[in-house]
Amino acid sequence: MGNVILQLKDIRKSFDDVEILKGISLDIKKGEFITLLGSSGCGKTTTIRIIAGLETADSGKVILEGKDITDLEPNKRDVNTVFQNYALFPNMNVEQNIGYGLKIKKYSKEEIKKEVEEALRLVQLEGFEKRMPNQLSGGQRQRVAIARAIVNKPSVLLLDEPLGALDLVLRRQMQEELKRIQKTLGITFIYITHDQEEALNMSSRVVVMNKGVFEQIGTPNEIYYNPRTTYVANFVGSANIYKKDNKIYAIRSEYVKMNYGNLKGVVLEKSFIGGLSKVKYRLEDGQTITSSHSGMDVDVKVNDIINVGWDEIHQVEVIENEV
Amino acid sequence: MKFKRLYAFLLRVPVYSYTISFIIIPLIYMLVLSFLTKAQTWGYTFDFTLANYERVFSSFYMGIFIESLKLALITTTIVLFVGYAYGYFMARTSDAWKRRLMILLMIPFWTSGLIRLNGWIIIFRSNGVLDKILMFFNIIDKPLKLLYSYPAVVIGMIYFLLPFMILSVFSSVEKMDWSLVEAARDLGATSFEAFKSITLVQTMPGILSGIVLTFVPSMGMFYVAEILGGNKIVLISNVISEQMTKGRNTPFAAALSVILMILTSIILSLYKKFTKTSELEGIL
Repeated sequence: MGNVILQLKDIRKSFDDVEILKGISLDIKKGEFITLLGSSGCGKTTTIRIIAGLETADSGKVILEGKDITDLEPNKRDVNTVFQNYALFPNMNVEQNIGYGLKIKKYSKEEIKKEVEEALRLVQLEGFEKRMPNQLSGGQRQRVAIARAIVNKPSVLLLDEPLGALDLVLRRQMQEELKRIQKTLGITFIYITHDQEEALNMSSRVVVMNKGVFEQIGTPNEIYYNPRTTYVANFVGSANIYKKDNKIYAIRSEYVKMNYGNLKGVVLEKSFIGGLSKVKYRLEDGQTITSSHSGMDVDVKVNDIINVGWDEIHQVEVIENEV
Repeated sequence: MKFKRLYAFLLRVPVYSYTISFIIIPLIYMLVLSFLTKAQTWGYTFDFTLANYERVFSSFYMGIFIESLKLALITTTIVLFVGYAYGYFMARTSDAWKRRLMILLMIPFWTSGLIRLNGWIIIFRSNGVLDKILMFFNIIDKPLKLLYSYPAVVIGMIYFLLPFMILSVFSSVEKMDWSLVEAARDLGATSFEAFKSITLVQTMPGILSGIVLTFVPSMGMFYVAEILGGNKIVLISNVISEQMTKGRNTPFAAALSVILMILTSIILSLYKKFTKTSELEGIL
């Protein structure tokens, strides 16, 4: 077992005859930052709701620190959740919200005050104790929700798209803060997102989910450079899918070079996406390929015919499931 | 511009005229009447007097006021618990069951209240439906004689007022954000603790408006006490009704009504202050 903290064993779950989770298994090590990455409806929220005990699995087991917690009530599990809509108690102020779990565990008033203060310091919201949730901005509510969960020092913290409602700048900032908080506390994080950039940036391991199965589990590097399936290749950083001799390959656009190799392509379109220029070609056999180049100026025009190519070590054979 | 204002005024005319003719004028009439003297034969004479109020504050009538308050409190308390349970589960069941329960709640409203009260007579009277059923199952061995008793009046009141509590609790439970309960459970609360600290607080507007909607009418439902209580249970509203009809003492009835209104308003404002509510589900 070593330092495995949480195990999911062949978990299945259906709602109204629709199978949402089709037998998922995962071992999570202590202190990991695991991200479940997938589009909406892939079952990622259901997965963490089952871990939290807010949903019961039809079959399979959830094992936390060697103990089977599959049938345990949510309040008996040493995990806490940061909800997507924050779910702050509107009738309680920040201090009462954060102290709620400790109060239930019968901590003394002084202890609660001390712990709440510490949690607020960690999320950089000192002095906000007496504010009501409706007096806080979205980002501040987010911080309170995180503080309310981590103050209980769970062995595993579940975060359900916690940054989904924040704007891009705030999201980037919160990503860094979450990483910092996770490092400081050493708590295992299970993080849900549909944003592949966020997943790659934050996680020690990424789990790509698709239609109720784990498509691939690996470090951000493995997921990005060695996608197992066309779905992963496409969902994470939209790789080129190239078919040749009954085999399917994924090639990252940054490896596709102009005036290279012996494939001819017509330039279909040019786009600039801030720091990167992308050029899309149609090859002679009808397949399309995109190349990306740093900087703004790419010396081609639409309808130009040029050679495009890549080194063979950069093409990864993948299993086709969907594009 | 001028036309617009005229138009806005015309739109309000129906509301104003309704309020003035059916609420304000009767109130003023009642207030004035309460200071007048009963005529020897019929009606009243325009002689100012405080005698009506003196009589209201006699220990006999004050006793009746207290009796009425007691019954209203008993009724409201029972309605609160039964109504909360019904309203809560109605809001939590499937849509199909929601519709069924709602129809069960609505059907009685299609029949006149007086006819439904007479239905209760059939159920409650000696050797009536209830006695027969209980005796058939050997739960009792002789008739309960519930008709014209205090419990009969309480049950009748509950029967009439329960829907108001159910509906206000239902609408506040329907609006609940259940992720709050999940968050509480996630943070270690048992289902009872979560109910106490989250659900109850979140549905408080429904509870409070349900209490108002039950308490206020229960002070004035004289016909329930009259039909199901016989002459044994006399509430302040019965006295008012009797003074209006048999007693032919409209000034005294008016004085009683004024005091009843003031009493109810005081209780309501105390209640609002005590519970610190500014919002009630659907009313006030």
